[in-house]
Amino acid sequence: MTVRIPIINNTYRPDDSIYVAPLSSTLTLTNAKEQLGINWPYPTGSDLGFHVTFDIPENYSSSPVIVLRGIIDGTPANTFAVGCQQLSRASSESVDTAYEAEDTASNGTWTGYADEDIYEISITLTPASAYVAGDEVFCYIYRDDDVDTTTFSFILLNAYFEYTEA
Amino acid sequence: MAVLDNDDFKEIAQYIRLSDYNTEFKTAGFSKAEWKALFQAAEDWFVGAFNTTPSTSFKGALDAVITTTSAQAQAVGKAWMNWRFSK
Repeated sequence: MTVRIPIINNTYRPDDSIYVAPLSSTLTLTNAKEQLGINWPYPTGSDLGFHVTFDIPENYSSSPVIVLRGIIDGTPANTFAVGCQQLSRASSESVDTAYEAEDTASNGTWTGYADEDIYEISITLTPASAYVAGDEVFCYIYRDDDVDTTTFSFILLNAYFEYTEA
Repeated sequence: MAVLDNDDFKEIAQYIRLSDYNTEFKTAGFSKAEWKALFQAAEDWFVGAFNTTPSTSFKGALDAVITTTSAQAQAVGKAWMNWRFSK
């Protein structure tokens, strides 16, 4: 069975330009929504994202994926691209180790989507060594400037670690 | 005329996000390459206009990049001015 756990937590640290605001102050809504969203602008020359850590659950088995769920803030057009660099550390392993190679995902087909629609994209993770329950995973999740050609913001509602349970 | 770099574009994007004309950019659906080229065209037109009578309108300069609406052209102009005159 596939399981999702939210990974936005006390370790969350955004890059400059990313900020939290009520949806109604960012979107042009007729029906107010005062929930907070993480305003994630389009990158303009370098990757733009956030840093976070999470731990691998005890029932983890396989198929690690990062899922980003949010709201399209603008006309959806061109290629939306995200990436994730990650590093898992077990007890007694140093965090002073470089991230592994990036995993990426992108979409340039927006049929059925419009401004202010919910949108979700998944990044399949390919860790060098399989995750083990209890590992701490350090992530940098970003909009990939090399590939992203959009000029709309993404209002992130949550990020998830998705996996197949044992 | 200055060639805008990524730091310039980052600053311009921040001005846009804080403005009421952000709506024009949200609805335009420009690609990033078009978006950057529009602001480079604005930079070239404004800076050049200080020296010579422009050979085309501001909107004409933008439309050489991609066809814009009047509101979009005004939004590019406002964003460029807000950004440039703050430096």
